[in-house]
Amino acid sequence: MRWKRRCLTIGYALLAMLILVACQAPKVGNRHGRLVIWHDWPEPESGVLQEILHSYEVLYPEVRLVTNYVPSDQIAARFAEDVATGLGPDLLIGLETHELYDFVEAEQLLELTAYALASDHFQPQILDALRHDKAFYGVPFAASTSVMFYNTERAAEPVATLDEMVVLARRGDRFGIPIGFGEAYWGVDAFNGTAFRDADVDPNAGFGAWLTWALQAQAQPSILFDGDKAALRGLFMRGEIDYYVGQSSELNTIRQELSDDNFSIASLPAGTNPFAGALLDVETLTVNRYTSKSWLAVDLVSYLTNMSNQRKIAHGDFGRIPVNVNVKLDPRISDIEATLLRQQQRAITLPFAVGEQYDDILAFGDTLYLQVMQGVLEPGDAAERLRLEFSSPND
Amino acid sequence: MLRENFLRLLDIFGILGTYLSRPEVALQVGLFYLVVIITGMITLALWYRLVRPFSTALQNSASPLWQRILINMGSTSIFPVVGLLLIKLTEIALRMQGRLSGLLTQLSWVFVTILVAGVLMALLYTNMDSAERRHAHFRFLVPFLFVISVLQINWQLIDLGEVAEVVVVILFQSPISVGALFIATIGLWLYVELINTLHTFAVNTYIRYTQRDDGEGQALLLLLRYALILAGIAFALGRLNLNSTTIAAISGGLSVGIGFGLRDVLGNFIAGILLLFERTLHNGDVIEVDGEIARVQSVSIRSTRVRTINHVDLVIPNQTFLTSQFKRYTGESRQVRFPITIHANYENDMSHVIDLLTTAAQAHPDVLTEPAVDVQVQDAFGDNVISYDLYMWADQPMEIPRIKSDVTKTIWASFSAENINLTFPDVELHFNDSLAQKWPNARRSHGKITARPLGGQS
Repeated sequence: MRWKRRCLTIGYALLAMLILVACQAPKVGNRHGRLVIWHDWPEPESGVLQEILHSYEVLYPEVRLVTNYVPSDQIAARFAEDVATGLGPDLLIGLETHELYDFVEAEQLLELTAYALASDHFQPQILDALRHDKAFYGVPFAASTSVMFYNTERAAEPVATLDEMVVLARRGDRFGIPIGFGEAYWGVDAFNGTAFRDADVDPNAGFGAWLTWALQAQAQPSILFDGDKAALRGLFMRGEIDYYVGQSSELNTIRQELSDDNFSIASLPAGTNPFAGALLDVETLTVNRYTSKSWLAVDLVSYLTNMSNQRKIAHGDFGRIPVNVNVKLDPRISDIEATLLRQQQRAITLPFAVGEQYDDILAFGDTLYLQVMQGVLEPGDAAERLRLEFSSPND
Repeated sequence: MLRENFLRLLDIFGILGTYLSRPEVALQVGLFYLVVIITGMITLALWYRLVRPFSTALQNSASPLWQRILINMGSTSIFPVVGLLLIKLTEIALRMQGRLSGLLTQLSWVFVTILVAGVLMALLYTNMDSAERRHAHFRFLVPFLFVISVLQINWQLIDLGEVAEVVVVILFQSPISVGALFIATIGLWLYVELINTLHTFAVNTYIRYTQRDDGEGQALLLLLRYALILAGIAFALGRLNLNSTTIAAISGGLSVGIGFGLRDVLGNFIAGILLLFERTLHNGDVIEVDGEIARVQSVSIRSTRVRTINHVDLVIPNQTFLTSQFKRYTGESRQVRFPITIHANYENDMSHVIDLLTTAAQAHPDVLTEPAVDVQVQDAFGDNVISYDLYMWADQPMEIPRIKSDVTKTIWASFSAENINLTFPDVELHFNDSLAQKWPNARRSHGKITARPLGGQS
C-alpha cells in the first residue's frame, strides 16, 4: 500500500502545482512574459515580420515572442481547432476580415474596441470592414489587392482600359485574367457595380456588364480566362503571357522567376468606372480570448501598427500594403509601392457581416462565371440570380 | 548551433507554460489529473473486491480459456473504463457551466490507449504463469503506458514533432536529435521488453497447443526473438544517424578487444543454439552435473538454468554441456535404472535373500513393475559376505534418492524380521607366540579383530 500512498502524494503535488500556476495574477502594465504568435507570412516576407518582432524584444528584454509559421490556407482551421480547447496562439497575424465572423460569433476573440477606436492609425473604410455591432475584434495589419502585372520587355506601357485591352489582344499581346467571383470583382467595379447589391438585370451595369464584356473578350485568343490562378501566374512567370491580373501579395513569388527589371505593376484597367477597384484583402491582428497575457498582446498590436513598422512593411516590397494612414510613400522611390497604395485607396472592403456568407457567395459566384463563360447562362440572368440569392447584409 | 537549439527547446516548453497559465487550460488539465487519481483509487477498490477473489482461482491453466481471458481483460480494463466514464461526466459538467472542455476530450484518448493496450496484453497473459505475467506487466506494460500517456498529454499542448527534430548533441560529427535519442534509449528498451513478452507468449502457446516440449520450435522462436532485437538495435542506431566512417574506424579498433572479451559469450551463444537444435537438452530434463542431480528449468541463448533436488538454482554456461560430460536421466525415455548394493552373510539362504530384496523393491509405489526388479549376485565368493545388487526402475529421476532410502528401510525391516544377518567383514589374525603373549586378552567378536597365537588356543 506504500506505493499507493506515493502515487496519491505525487498526484496531489501535481494538482497543487497546476492550481498555483493557474492562479497567477496577470501583471498588467509590466511588459514581461512570453507570447505565442502565429503568422502566415512565408519566407522571405517573414524576415521583415521577424525583424519587427525582434525590435520589440530589444525594447522590452523581459518579453519573449515565440513565433510559428502556419500556411495561409491552414491558419484559420488550425486556430479554430486549438482555440476551442483553450490553446492556440496569444496573437494571430493572418486572419482576413471575412474569416473573423465565425470566431467572433463563437466568442473566441478578445474585443479590441478600445484600442481600435482610440488609435487614428487606420483608414475609416478598413475599420468599417471590421466593425461588428459597434465592436472590433480584429485590428488591420496589412492589406493586399488585385493589380495588373505586366512584362516590361514586351509591353512598354500598362493597359489603361478594358477597351484598350481588347485592342492590344488583337495585336497579339497576351492577357491572363483569373475568373472567379473574388478574383475578378474588379471587373464588376469597372462597370460601377457595388458589392452584392444592385447587380440588376440591366446588362449594361455592374455584374451583368462585366460578364458581358468578359464573354465578348473571351473570343479573343490572346485573352485567357481561367479559374486556375496559379496556372496563369506560371504562364506570366515563364513569359508566355504579357499581362496578368493577380494579387499584390504574389509579388515575391513572381520575383522568383522575373527580376524587377522585367516586370512591373499597374492599376487595374478601367471600364465605365475610371478607377476600377478590386476587393481589399485585409490581414488582421487578433488576440485569443483565452490568453493570460491580453495586456501584452494588445501592446504588441499597437506596436505592430505604428507608423514606423508599417513603413517597414511597405518598404519590404513584397506586395503587402500598409494600413496606417500616416504612412506616406514617395512614388519616386518605388513605383510599385506607390501603385499599391493607389490601388488600395480604390479597393473595396466588404462589410463584416458578409463574412458569414462569404464562402457561399464566392462559390455561387464562381458557378455563375462558369455557366456564363460556357454559354449556358446569359450575363443578365446570372446577375439576377446573384441578386436574388444574396440579399444585402444590412437588410 | 546547439545553444540555439536549446533555446528553441526552451521556447517550445515555454509554450507549455504559457498554455498552462491560461485558466481554461489549467482547469482542464487539472481536472484530468484529478480524474486519473480518483480513477486509480476506484480501480484499486474494485480490483481488491471484485477481481482478485476470482483471479487466483481462475488463473491456473486448468481453467477454461474464456474464463482466463475474461479475468485478464477485467483486470486491465477497469482503470481505463472508469477513467473514460469520469472524463465524460466531467466534460458534461464543464459544458453545463459554459466552460471549455475540448482539451479534456482530447486527453481522454489516453484512457482509450490504455484500454486497447490492456486488452491486447490480457490476451497475452492467458498463456503466462503468474511470474511471467508480473514480469510482463511491470517491465513492459506499465512503463509503456506511462511513456505513451506522457507523450499523448504533451502532444495536445505542444508540437512534439518539433521537439523531436531539435538537435541536442553532436556525437562523432553526427547531429543527434531528441527524437533519435528517445528512440535509441527509451524506445529501444520498450521494444526489447515487448519482444521478450511476445517470445514468452509464443513459447508457452507453442508448448500448450503442439503438446511438444522439444527444442526445435523453441530454438526457432529464440532465434527469431534475438533477430528481432538485433533489428531493433540496428534501427535505433540508424536513427542516430552516426557517421558511418567514424563508426567503422572506432569499431575496427575495438573489434579485436571486443572479440576477445566476448569470445566466451559467443561460445555460449553458439552452444545454446546447438543445444536447442540438437535437442540435447529440453526444459524439464533431469541431468547430473558435478555430482548434482537437477532439473532443467530453461535453456537460454547463453546459459542453462537448472534446479537441484535441494531447490537451489544453478546457472550453467552452455559451453559446459558441449565440452564436458554430463549425465542425462531423461533421454529417449524417462525410465532410469538404479542399484542398491547389499552384503549378506554366507549363513543366509541366497534365494531367500533374493526374494526379500525383490519383495521390498516391488512394494514401493514409485518402483516400476516393468521393467521388472532384478537382483544380481555380484560377489558370491567374497571373503566374508555375498554381495547382492538390487536393480530397480523408476521414471522420476529426481526422486531416486528418496526411493533408495525407502527401499533400504524396507529391506532393513524385512531382514530384521527374517533374521538375515548383514554381517560385517570378519578378519582373523594369527600372531606368533611372542605377540600373543603381548596381547593375551585379544578376542574375536563381531567386527573386531581378535588375536590367536599360532597353533594355540584363542
